[in-house]
Amino acid sequence: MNDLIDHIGRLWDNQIISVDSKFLSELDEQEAYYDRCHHQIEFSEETLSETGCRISLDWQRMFREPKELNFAETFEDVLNCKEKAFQYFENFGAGDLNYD
Amino acid sequence: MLWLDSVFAVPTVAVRLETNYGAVSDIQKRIMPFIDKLHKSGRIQRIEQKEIWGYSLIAGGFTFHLRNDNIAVSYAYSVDEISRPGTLPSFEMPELRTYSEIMKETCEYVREILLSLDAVDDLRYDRIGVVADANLEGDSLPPE
Repeated sequence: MNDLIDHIGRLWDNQIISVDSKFLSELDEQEAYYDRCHHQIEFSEETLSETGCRISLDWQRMFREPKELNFAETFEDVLNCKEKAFQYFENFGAGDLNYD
Repeated sequence: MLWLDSVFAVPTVAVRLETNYGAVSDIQKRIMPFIDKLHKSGRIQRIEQKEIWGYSLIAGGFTFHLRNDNIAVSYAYSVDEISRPGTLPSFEMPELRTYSEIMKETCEYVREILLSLDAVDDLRYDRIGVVADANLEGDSLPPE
């Protein structure tokens, strides 16, 4: 997270005081679906001790063609998505997103 | 352990359905046993009807959005007010749990809802979402 904030701050020579930003990024693309994640980050250096830093990670799998809802298959899709999302959240938290 | 388990974080899981007005009454019929089960458990704090068909329920900290175009289960910590005769109410704080623990329960609710909807004909979904909402202290920004 600090890496990300530092990375954004480089645009202003790291003189960044507050952030209220949304980023949507595509993560993976397959024939049947693509994965993406909405990121929302809010923090203010001036009120950090009171409000903390708010992060919302909204990972989504978009199917190119709607799939028929069938309990076994749909729930398996949900569990697979949960695992993929967890993996992405871990990489995001670890700063493993190719920051140089 | 997920870093989200070490911070104040809550999940949402959602399945976006293709709007199908022809299935509205069947969805309603199939989902009612799930709502009844929540009601009988005494956990429903609020229930509202939404749009042409749909419900928004809060039960035990979980919010359920059950509509013919979206199914979503999310969690938020809430403080329960307990009335006491002759004096001020008391407040019950929820138990602090990890993101993974709450996610496990969230998925169990999603499983029950999908099982309820299994018998509805011509119901399709085109998006699955998994959300983490976290509020971090300044000195706990990952990685530690």
